[in-house]
Amino acid sequence: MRPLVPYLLMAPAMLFLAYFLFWPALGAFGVAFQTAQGEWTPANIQALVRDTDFGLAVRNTFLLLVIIIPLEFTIALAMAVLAQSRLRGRGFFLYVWSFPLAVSDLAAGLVWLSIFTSHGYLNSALQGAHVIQHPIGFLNYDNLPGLLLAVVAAETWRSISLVMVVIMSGIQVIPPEMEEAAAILGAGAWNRFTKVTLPLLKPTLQVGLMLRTTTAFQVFAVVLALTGSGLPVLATRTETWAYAHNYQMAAAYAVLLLMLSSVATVAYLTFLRTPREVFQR
Amino acid sequence: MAEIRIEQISKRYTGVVALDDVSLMVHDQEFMVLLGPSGCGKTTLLRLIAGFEQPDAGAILIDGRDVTDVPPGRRGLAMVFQSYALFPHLKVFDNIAFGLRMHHVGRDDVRRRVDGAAELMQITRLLDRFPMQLSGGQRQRVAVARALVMEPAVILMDEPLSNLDALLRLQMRAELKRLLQEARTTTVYVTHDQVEALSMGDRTAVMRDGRILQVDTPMMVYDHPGHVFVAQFIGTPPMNVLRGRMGDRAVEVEGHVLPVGIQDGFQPGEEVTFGVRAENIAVSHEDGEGALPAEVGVVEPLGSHLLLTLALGGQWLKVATRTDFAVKPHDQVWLRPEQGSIRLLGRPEEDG
Amino acid sequence: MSTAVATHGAAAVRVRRVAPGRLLLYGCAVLITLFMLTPVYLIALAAFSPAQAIFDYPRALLPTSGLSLDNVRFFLTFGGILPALRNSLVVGLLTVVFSLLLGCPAGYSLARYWFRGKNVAQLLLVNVRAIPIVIISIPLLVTFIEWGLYDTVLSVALVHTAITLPLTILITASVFLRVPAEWEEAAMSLGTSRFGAVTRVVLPNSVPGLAAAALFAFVTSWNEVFVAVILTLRSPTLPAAMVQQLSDSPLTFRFAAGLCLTVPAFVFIFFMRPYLFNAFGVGGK
Repeated sequence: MRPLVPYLLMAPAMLFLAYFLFWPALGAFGVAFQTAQGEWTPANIQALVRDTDFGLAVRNTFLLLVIIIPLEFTIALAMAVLAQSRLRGRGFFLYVWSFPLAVSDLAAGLVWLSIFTSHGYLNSALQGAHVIQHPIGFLNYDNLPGLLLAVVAAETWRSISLVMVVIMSGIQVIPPEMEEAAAILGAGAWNRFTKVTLPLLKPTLQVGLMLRTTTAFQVFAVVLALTGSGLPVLATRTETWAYAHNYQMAAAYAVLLLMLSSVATVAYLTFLRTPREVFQR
Repeated sequence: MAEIRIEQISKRYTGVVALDDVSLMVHDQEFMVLLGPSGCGKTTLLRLIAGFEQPDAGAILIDGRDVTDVPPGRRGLAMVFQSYALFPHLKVFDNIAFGLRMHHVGRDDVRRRVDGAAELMQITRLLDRFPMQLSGGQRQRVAVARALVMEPAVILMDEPLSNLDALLRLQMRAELKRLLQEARTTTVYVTHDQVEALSMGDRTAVMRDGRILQVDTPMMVYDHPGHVFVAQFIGTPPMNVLRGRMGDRAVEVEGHVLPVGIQDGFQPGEEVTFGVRAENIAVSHEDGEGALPAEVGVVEPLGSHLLLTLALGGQWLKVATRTDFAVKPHDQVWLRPEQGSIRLLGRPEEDG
Repeated sequence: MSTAVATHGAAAVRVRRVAPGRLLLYGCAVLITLFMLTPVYLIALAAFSPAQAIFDYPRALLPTSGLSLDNVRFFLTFGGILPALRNSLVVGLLTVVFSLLLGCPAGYSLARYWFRGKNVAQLLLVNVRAIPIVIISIPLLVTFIEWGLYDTVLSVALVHTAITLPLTILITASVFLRVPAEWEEAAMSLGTSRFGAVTRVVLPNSVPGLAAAALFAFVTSWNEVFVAVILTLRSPTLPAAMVQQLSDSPLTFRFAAGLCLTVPAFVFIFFMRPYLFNAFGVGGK
């Protein structure tokens, strides 16, 4: 009985996860590759590719990813470095910079809606400063740059805190003597950052990128709140088909999303690898 | 000339005074050891010299130049950290080359100088490895190589040997001393180990609670401590510190009179603290002129000598003697301090 | 030959000039803070503006037209919002209870025992976040329909638990690790069983950490949108209800919603600060 105790303690949680997490993840493949009657078929995938907004959804998701990830990581790096330096009021800054951790993506979308809507604050400010004569239709159906701008702003605002916290946890384990040693060897602030801090952050950045990319593939409520159906993305297509009770199509989209996330994850694991000798004996 | 002048430096952190109006002069090519218990301010002082922190008051001059506002990389210093601070993501070669590259030294020169430093520290075969693959002693050598390759005017060392095991420490102590002598670099070396300080330094600054108590050559600090703390910090065992009363060219202790040399500003009748080293006291089973009677408390055979703990009236002291001296606890013996080995240290109410 | 060089005259107390580099750092910090706070100010302004202000253009960037609670009141009293709020609360609390009930034993097991497969389990728990929520929701939707659990708070709570459980386990494991095993052994040597030792010694000393885990689970559930939308129709959580109303509701409604959904974040983070930043050595605001 005794040796079984740890397994017994883990069992409820692991079984729960197996049933509600792992099994459905596999099950999605099943639903995607079967008809409603349960026969195996590639028909759903074919239907997926022919879906009206398929190309748009893929393109938009990628566009968002390609813009948001570098932007967020650059700013979050700056925030983490700032938070590390001995600025006065650091506690206040950190509190304000991390409150979006508890903001839902829906709320973020609504908040930025007030800014980007055609009679919203951005247009009001621009008009008031006489930069424009007529309101810009940022959120217009056909204004791709405008739509992207709005979603990028809202998503970045909402999730940069998480990236910052991840990076900070990585910076914490870098001994301060590293920077001091580099300083006394003649490295200026920029060199210290690029030649010492960043390389040592590589494992942390790898984890952060994998995490953030996976969640970025799933952008949903921000897009809904800001653009309605004006900017189709993979997650919104999934939800639309589920709402229409076509679970095969919904699952097909979900599987596609998983595949793309996995490719990105593998890419990060490959290209951001640290050779074993660097961190282990 | 790479002399360091520290002028009236003060540094405080919230509520704590780390350094209190400290002044020190390190001569060109001198090996100066900052010695003291943890919290005495030695590391703070080193970090101020390095430039990682700014003093609240006072100035630091290197080679006549006021460097108080100069960033660490431009003071002409090199440093070896207690944890070595090797860059784990770079090979040993690149670690050593780091500083040279920061100063835009040409590729061939980098190669030549790194190879030279590696040979000096006997780590040539390790150049292609990563720091995590090295032992503690090997990492220490890389850290020193990285500093020496810069051919600095001044080298700073923050307890570089404290993370090594005892045997390695002994070995590296001698090696470091030889290397730094040959390199003719001014060295400031921080340690809490008084044996290291005595063995390596040209002069030692003994520090406590943010102040320098005494700066002197090892022999002077050992033989002529100016302060009770210094007397008890230096030497194994610590110098015996006893209380007595000043007489005429003599000190009266526990009813007996010991002749001392110069008065040094002490008036007869004053209570005085004085010290005498365990190895400077002769012990015998026979009474004699000027001998002090004492009772043996503990006998410790230490291999090369016997260490006796004795009660002299109400005070205790230690005496070192030959291993063949036949003695056991509770024996009555007589002590004779050597002529001229008694040091007056101060007055009892001044310090402890 | 003691003591050091005597210097004549008092050393000047150094005037600390602010280096230009530091000013730049401060400037950046302030800019970032403005970026974070300005939208909050604007949504508050939008939510608290009088209803007619919606027709103003350009909108005032300052509360010059006065403040009004109309929008917020409209939002809160609108049919469906208060029930949705209640559903969110229920789902959140259920998620916390389920997560802790399942997570604490698992966390304890990871903290105290070594067993075959422990490393695999830990690796699994860390990497589970890679599974997109989107992908699990479709099959679960199908399952819940079959079970008759579609459109219930229970179904949402179950999925939310699955989402928060991995991290809850890792958090409780680290919480229990901080309670020395010797304390349990001491208790057991005094006569209690292991279970008694855990309830009497470990749990009372883990309250702050477990509270953090509970708060994290609650906030995650509170804010979760996608699963809630997929799994509910007539008993939605607050975010799901909002999504349903999105396209039909007037802007003022949406602004009020935006504000109401954002403000709690400040409260949540205020209580979570010590756990977020303990490692960073920053105390308090």
